[in-house]
Amino acid sequence: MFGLNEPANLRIMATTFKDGDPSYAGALGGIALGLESYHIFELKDEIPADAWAEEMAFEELEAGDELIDEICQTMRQVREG
Amino acid sequence: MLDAKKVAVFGERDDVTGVAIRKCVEAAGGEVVYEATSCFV
Amino acid sequence: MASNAFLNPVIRNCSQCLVHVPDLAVYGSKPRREILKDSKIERRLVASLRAFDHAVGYAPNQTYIGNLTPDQLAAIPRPWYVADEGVNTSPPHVGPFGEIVSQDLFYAILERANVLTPALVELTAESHEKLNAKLRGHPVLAGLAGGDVGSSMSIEAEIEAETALPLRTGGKLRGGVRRDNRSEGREDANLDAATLLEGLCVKASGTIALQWLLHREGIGPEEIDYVISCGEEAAGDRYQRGAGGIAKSIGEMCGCVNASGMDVKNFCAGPASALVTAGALVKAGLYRNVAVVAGGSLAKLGMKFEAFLERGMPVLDDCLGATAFLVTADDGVSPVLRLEPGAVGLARIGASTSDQAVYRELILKPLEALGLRMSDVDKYAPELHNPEIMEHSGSGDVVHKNYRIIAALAVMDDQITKAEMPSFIERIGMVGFAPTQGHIPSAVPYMGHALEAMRRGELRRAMFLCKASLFLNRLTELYDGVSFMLESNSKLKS
Repeated sequence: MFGLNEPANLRIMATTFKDGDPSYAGALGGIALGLESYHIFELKDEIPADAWAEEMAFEELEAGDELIDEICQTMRQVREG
Repeated sequence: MLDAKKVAVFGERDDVTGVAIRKCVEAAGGEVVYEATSCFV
Repeated sequence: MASNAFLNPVIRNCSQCLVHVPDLAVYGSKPRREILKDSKIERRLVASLRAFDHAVGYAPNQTYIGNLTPDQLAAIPRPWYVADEGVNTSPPHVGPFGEIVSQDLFYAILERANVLTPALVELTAESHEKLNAKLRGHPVLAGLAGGDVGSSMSIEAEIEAETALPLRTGGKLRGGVRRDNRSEGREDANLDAATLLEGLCVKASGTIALQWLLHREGIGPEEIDYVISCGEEAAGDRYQRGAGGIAKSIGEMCGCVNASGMDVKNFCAGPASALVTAGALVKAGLYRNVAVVAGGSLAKLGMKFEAFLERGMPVLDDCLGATAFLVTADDGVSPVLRLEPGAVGLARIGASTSDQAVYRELILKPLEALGLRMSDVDKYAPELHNPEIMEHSGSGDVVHKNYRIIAALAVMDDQITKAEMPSFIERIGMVGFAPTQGHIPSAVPYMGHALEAMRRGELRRAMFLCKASLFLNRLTELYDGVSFMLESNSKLKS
């Protein structure tokens, strides 16, 4: 589960855990772990409301709706790709 | 979905920290087995 | 009876200097580790280093030394590293706040920062003579220069034998750095050449900043009562790692013979904690003139070099930052550091570590104590990292992220609406211009600009906001922050 709000980097991180490091630079180059990954923003419905309000409501406001949509879309694409 | 799941957490200091994600995951019944927060600055 | 103890202190003056050290980038933490893995990387890195004129002409660096305001920088189209080349062929390396010092001049000061025998830093005989002659001609730093004749020991053979680290400029050897080779130092990993070079860089760059502060203020070094260092090092031996002593070592180099000093550590909030401490010492009446000084971090040089090489860009994280401040009792002119009870923002140990909780403590609580609202502050200065360096390394514009947090807090506190966030940020924000360093980019690079704007009557209040990633010490999950308010002197108008 990721907390970074940069779609381009998230794509690389999520791809690395699923299919292996696309740059072949790190330890997971060519090693497909097949792990699914998520950004915390995707899991709002899975987290109890009080915990979300305390830890994440402010983070949502900071990031803004547009960026959150882009992050969620990026993560979905990698999982389904 | 997170109940009894083992989760590796990669937080970011200037976005969502590992601590914040861990608290959410644990509240949802998940188990955090790895947690880190990067600091790029 | 009136007493200074009831008056707030002022920030009388400051200096902001950069040291352009492209050839030290190979000793930065990240490049060193990568070069160890693959020695071919060194050649690629060295081929992408910037020349002094390019680093001087680089608009964010000109902003750091005060030749451009943050607003002027924001108006210059990106990318800045291209935009500056050729536009200004001989850019000024001196600005209102200080200077961008060249590597060769810095090597001469680095050699002078050594106190050990045998010396930790030694220039070649030719470089010693040439660079010290150059230093003796410097209008502000001449007093740091050494004599004509250097050491009779030959550093060249040790570099050849790889027992000393070479100091080069553009491929030419200037000197070298040794480990502590005495019996007590020989087996101590904290006293190897690379670690000692870190401490020496902090001492030498901090010395440059303090010399510039004394020069700008026109005050003699003997007038300084106390020095507080908040630089980016952990000097000490195996039994006293990170134990301090930098403040006095810098004060000693600058001739502050009547001062004592100490080091303040608080990760990126170090400079803010040091300024608040300095202000409190002055307010208590213990000292009159307190100098706060910070030297720059060798460890972060070249930290993002891989991203730059990948994009065919020059290595932009090639400068040490250094800064110094003079804190005194109210002089009726200089901007005031508000130190009433509750005026300094901090993150209590018992407070939640969520962003919202931390920022409430840092911004809303002190404002409340001062009877102010968020919109009463004209400018907020958070971490001011140059976005051109940060964005290419995948972490985004950290300065803008900080402003999003500040604006989100204003929304949560019903001071603005969600739709007003962009215009609020436009009004209270600024663009980042500080080099990649540890503590130095944290809010305080705005100090020179704020002092000038307040003296011109263009700025009333600025809040300096420093966050500290305490968790990097692996000993706590806590997050810290320190904020303080700087206000134009109310006596200035009357």
